[in-house]
Amino acid sequence: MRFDRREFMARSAMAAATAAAAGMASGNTADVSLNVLDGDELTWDKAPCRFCGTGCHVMVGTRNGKVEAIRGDLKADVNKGLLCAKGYHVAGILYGEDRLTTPMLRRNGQLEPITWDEAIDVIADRIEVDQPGFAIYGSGQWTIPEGYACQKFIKGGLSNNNIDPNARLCMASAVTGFLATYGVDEPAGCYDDLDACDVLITWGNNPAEMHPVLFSRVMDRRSRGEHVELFDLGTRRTRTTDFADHYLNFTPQTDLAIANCIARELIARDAWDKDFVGKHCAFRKDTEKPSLFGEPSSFKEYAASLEPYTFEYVEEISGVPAAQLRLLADRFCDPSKKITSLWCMGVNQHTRGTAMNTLIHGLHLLSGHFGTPGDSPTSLTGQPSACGTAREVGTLAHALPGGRLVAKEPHRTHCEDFWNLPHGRINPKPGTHTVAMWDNFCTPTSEGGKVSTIWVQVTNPGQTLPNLQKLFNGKEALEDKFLIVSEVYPTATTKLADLVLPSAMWVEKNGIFGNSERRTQQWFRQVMPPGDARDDVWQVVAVARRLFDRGHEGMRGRDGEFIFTVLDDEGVDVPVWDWPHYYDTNVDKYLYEEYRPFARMKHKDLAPYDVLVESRGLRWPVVQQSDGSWRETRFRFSGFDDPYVAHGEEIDFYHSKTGDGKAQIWFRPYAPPPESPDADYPFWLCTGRVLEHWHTATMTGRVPQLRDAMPTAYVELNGADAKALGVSTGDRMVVSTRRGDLELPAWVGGRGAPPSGSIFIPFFDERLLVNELTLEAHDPISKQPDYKKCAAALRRA
Amino acid sequence: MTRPRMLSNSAILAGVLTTAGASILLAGVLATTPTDGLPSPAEQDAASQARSLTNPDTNFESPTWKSSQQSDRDQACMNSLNLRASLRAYEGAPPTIPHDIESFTRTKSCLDCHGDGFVMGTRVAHPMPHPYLAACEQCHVTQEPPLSRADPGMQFAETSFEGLFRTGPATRAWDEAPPTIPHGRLMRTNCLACHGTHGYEGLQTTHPERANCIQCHVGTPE
Repeated sequence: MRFDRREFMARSAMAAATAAAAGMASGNTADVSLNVLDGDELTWDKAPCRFCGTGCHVMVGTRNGKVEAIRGDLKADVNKGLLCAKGYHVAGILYGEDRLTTPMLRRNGQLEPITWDEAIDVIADRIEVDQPGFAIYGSGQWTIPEGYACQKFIKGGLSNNNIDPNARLCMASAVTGFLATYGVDEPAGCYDDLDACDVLITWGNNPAEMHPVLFSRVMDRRSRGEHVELFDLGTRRTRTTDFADHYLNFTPQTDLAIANCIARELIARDAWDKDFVGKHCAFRKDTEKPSLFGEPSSFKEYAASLEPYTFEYVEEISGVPAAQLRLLADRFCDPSKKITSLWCMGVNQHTRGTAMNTLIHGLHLLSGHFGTPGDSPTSLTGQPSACGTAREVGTLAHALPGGRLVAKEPHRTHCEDFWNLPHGRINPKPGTHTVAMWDNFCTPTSEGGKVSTIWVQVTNPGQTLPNLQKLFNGKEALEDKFLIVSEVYPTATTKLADLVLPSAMWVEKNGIFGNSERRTQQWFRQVMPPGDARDDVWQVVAVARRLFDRGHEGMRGRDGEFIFTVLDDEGVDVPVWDWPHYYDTNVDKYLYEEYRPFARMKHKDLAPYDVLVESRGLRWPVVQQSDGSWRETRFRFSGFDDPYVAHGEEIDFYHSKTGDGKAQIWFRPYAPPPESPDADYPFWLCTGRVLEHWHTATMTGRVPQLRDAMPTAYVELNGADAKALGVSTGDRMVVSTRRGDLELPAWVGGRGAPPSGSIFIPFFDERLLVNELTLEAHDPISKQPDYKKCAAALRRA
Repeated sequence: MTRPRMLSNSAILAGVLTTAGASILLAGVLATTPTDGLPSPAEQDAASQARSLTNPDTNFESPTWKSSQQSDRDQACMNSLNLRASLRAYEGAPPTIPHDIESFTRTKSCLDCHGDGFVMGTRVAHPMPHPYLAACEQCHVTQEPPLSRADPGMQFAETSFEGLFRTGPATRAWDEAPPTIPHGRLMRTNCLACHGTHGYEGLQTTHPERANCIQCHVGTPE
């Protein structure tokens, strides 16, 4: 049967009328069963997404050993069936035709294939020659077992503490902010706050592009008729600003002054929560030399310190009109509004990052907007296991698993006992943190550059370190320095590698991640890695075993046993260092269960592996109930939900630094940034990410849909500046800083809009390395560099 | 069975254009301008002449419910399904956007055309198949980035990813029975997005006046 368009339109109109009358569109009703799904012929299994810290769950559809399709996981609390463009295309990251499939050693300037056996020997040789100078540099993309294996290898085996993750460039200030405020790391609230807040505040944060699923979780509430007010505080308009009710554009670095101004107003109006603060908070201030815990202060002293931050003064230095500041203060002064703050790199990549983190926590505490659903200061993470691995396993130069510190004798003893190592095995001196590690590595040995070998796993420092010329490229001229890189694709880092090891990635291996809301997520291997690519855990265990076989004392426990002894379910020792036997048992499960007891000290109780298998992740503390079931915690420190808060208590900060259950409200003054625009370099330069690419695009760049949507970096500039320079979109520009020059196309009136006098460059493009321009100046407490502001000059190419 | 290659932007747009033009709808995607790797116009003419539902060159198998009167519609259906597939990494992936988006100032401007669907001249904007979600660009990325003429962009090796191509085909219990739904319904609950007035040629329902599709159409049995 055929009928023409006119008839079709007429009948459709009739259909619409019928549907309206019946109160439903064709099939578009809530009770529609979704029992029919695409790809019934595929095998489906769960996995967390490989990319950001949101921790969405995907369903992975495989057939004949290949991933063919992805679905948002309808059973997942985090994303409730929805993903973002990256998540929907995550399967493509496995299949770039330039996957690394064989180990390669640089000989006469060329990377040449070698066997795994030879590669393991090369690493063991480097360790034997200079054990104190051997370092591991990883990331928040390490799975929990991977980070744990590296941690045990370096601290328990090599006794040198030279391990740090790129999370130092990403989350370090969030960690110090939590520690300084609550005495323990990681958020109190969770994503459920996003469903309950009346006001959302994004502090230098662009979740519409960087955490899209979380952002739409809030904004979709508007589509359902709910009212959510969005305050966007930024130094540049972004896609997030498009949704904002109020955009507060501030001069870089003045976010501290804004926070102080709001706190001052809470006190001036006598609107601070005296009951909450009196019961649950104490005051704190900086010591002369900034330190993590500072010194005690008083409310009186705190209020006096805030006195200079009047609306007039803060308007003057921040550029935010007093009326807007007053509006933001109105919200904090209103106890009936539920306020959730979100922040990520804008606050963390900041030379005052620790300070700004504590100020946001402080505002929520002072105003009492804390501890009930929707009232929450929520720090977001950029990597899938920045929390689970870098922070909880503690793969940092100064940390031991489960919130312990290498500098504390009892903590070292705990670890030595857990690991059955002789007392004194763990070195009490912290190792080198990220910037120091790479600075050391790029400094000639004769000039004190003590780090001689770095083994890089799951990250791309050749693109992401600040001031690359100094902190990475400097290695090239140094013959006695040796760079080992476990990777899946050729990257900016493998360009200078002396040894390249091909790795399995994502669902080519078993894994466990921990996302931004304390959720620990497990998945199984679903396809085989290509060629000779192998699991990162195996690589570490194989090197450890080679050293053990050569008689290395550090690879032995108290009883002479191999430190990575892995037993199967029957208690039989499995030779997992021998690749054909690696999957004879579940090494991930073994290492995770070995690690799990470490988490108890800070009350971050983790669910057993087999419980994780059955869930879409669980938020710690996960405690067993009398009926044997395992219960997760959504609202930490809150009596109504946290099992570690005594019955009847409203709030208990049970890791309080002052030992009295109180959190610390800090005064932290505004201080100018280390570099500001001047006559020679008149623009502010900000760097960041875009929706289509994840970090350095080594994965997303190999997905045609994502690459084609965003194939090149650019310099984004304001229309007025473009007019003054006679520049339009597509013109070639040269951006210069005191560290270097970069030529790239201009984008005017694009996705983001910096204010006049500011420019923005994304860092994903490996041809156009903006980190050759950025500053290595870092926060004195967290050691995290500031990628968000330095002075730059701009001209036509 | 071969999979559809990624079509160039112009080919896809041309395909979109033709879906609206009844006079050229039979040519569908095949009538697009020649681009890298695609057959020449003459070859295409020959191909479309010779092409039948059982031709091994076609990407889609003959629907089992085909009757001889429906071959025109089947051809249009195949063309539309190929066009649809060329916009996706795999069946179930959010389609990419075959036009520039950065010139639209706000994300909500997507709705101006894709809310109820929209036809202007020969251009068709399909309505959304799922309920309104606030951030369209969260899932849908463009094929026409703004700076593609200023910079060739990052060059990476080809991908060997082969996405799930299509589920189905639909089945009928007997000749006149309502066909089953041959695809997933996750994010595809508004049937009229593809099967309604502003849907795809060859996929449009013959009875748009019936409001409740799933009264008669059920999932394809395994």
